[in-house]
Amino acid sequence: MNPGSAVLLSWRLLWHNPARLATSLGALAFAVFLMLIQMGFRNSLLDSVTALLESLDADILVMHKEKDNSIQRETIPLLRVQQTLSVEGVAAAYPLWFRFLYWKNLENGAFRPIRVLGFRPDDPMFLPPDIRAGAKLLGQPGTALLDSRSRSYLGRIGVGPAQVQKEGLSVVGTFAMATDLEVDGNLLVSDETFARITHQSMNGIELIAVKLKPGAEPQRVIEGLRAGLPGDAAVRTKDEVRAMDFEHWDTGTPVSLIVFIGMAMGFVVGVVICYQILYTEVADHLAEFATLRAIGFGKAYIIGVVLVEAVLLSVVGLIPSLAAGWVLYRVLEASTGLLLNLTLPRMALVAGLTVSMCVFAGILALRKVLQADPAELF
Amino acid sequence: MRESQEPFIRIRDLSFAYGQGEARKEVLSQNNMELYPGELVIMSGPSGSGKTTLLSLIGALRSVQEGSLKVGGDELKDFDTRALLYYRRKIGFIFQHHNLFPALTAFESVRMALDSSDLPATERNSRTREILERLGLSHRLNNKPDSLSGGQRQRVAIGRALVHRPSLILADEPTAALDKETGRNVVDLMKELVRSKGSTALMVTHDSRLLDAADRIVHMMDGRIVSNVLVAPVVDAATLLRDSGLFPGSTPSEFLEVAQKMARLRYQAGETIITFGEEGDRFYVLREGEVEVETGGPTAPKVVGTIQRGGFFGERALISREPRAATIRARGPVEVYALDKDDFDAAIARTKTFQDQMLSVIFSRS
Ligand SMILES: Nc1ncnc2c1ncn2[C@@H]1O[C@H](COP(=O)(O)OP(=O)(O)O)[C@@H](O)[C@H]1O
Ligand SMILES: [Mg+2]
Repeated sequence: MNPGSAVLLSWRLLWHNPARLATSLGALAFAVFLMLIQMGFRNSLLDSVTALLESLDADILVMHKEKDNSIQRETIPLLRVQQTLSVEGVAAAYPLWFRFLYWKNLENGAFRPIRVLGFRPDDPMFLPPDIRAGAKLLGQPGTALLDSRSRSYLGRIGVGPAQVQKEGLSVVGTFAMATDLEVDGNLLVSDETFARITHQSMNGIELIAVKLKPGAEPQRVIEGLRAGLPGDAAVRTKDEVRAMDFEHWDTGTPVSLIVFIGMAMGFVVGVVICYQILYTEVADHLAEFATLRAIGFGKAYIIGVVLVEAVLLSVVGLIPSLAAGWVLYRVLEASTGLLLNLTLPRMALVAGLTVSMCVFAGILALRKVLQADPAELF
Repeated sequence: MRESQEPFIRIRDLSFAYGQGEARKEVLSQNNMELYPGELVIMSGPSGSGKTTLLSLIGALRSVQEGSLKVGGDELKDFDTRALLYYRRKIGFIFQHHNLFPALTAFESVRMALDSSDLPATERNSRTREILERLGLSHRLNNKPDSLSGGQRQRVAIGRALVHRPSLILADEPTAALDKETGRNVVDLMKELVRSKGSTALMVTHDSRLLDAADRIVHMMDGRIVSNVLVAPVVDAATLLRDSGLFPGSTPSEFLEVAQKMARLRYQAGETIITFGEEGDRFYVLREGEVEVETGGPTAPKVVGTIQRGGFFGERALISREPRAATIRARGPVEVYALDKDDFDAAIARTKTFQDQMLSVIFSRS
């Protein structure tokens, strides 16, 4: 049997009634949307809680051993920086401070939570070029860089006067990071300014970003650090910290379960919609399928036609759905400040789920088509 | 009249019932039939007489319940899935409903029937184009069913059924939706396959204009084949009877009725067909070849004449109840239509005029 013929037939069946196809694709896009939104929610959470980590130029991170994610607050003494530097293979060690404080919306006077990050402006510890460029402006005490992805609750996002708690500040630039479940924005300041607005000793640091000397063996350095640092410090590679953060947010919180249920619902809705589409398709052409059986086309051919149509439907449906999803993400991102990235692996996941839901629906619809009885044709 | 070839389909005591128990209804009862390669059989009969059911049994669309249905000598009941698939691919089905996919063009629909073959794509395309051209659809190749007329759709379906040059054509009222000329085209196409490829065609039709295409006409009534007539020899025999001038005033159906009862017999050169002095048991009409008439018996044999196609002999002894007055011998290979004495008597007894005319013929000969 000629497989091209089954594909041609499926393709023709799919496109035969464009109005019906458009309705079907709309419905299918809805299911894909449901999945995209759920997935976007989860990914945006993971992306935003690791945004700080990702912006650090570090091979190894040192932080308090009680922390089970990188943005949890738990300090270690500043002394650990010196101790870290003394370990063989370490090229640089940069301390980072952060606190959650309240930012005053100067437009309406409301206070909103913000994360204030303190670092020594001369330490090249950040990767994003906007931070590297802005760091040069932070030498002046009382200056700050504001996260341009901060939520609109903070008021006007841009250069100009600002206030955190009771302290007046001057925003001299912006950088793009992310908001997360806990804060509405990020503020980046020098260690000196950090001390001024937190009224705290600078002795407690949140983490140390460690750079290795060229050619140094990471595992050897990690062992050296573990031996050389006191018991309060945990030493991990950046990848290990990322995995720890994912683990914490993805499985350690109910978020993932809610998202999983949402995805499953999207999938089930998709199966139901695809089944409707394919079932109608098959039921409308029962006599024709029976004719094919009568003239010597085997069951395999008929099964092929229906399953190929299912796959074609999902593929044809995915293109507009993903495009619309991308637009939706941009709109949500602009309005919420959540990070919504439709990366290739994520698209592949949605595509895989969509194809499998259509094929699953196709298998259900097959029961109908295999009933097509050539005996009643004459 | 009988053929001596192996049949493609042989049906023996075939019965079929729909429903079970109380609702069981027998619609085919104890049918026997052969379908030979190279013949086009037309089946007629009132609605509900079982024609469609018989077609679907032969086409393996329904399973045989009772009796035997052999295809090429093998019992259809014993075919496995694969064998059934191959059998069906050898069949060209023409259904009452066209059942074309609305999404496919005429060309695509027809070409699908070749998709199970090993033909290269170019050959499949050209055969498809060719048959659609023959069906007068070359200007409609890319039309989908909703932009075709009813007759055009039916022709596409016929194209799909014939494009793979099936060995067996099963057609249920294929020309019902067609005008006279296209109906004729379709039958010509079937006839061509039957002649050139030795295919077998079984066509249900009520269109009497197509009867002349039939090699055999089968008539069904109440689930039984009530007549099964090999048309060409019967028509030929009836024509010869009429042209003989023996029975002026008889209707065509009277001629046909007598002709149907005749057997077609063959003789070699020198063979004796009637022997002088024997009791008369048959009446003969010469179909082909030449015979000589020898009178005088074994003691004084004398050839008094010859008889060619259209001539008849042997009637005198039947009517007069006297022994044969001559020996008739084949001069070369000879074919005759022969009518048994009882049938001959019955035919004569049926109409007085018939008998009178016979007697007058005999009278004029003596
Ligand atoms: N699927 C069926 N179920 C029950 N009875 C049927 C079915 N198909 C046909 N019949 C009955 O069988 C008889 C023969 O029908 P059919 O073979 O269609 O005859 P025809 O083709 O000569 O009109 C009819 O009495 C019809 O009502
Ligand atoms: Mg019928």
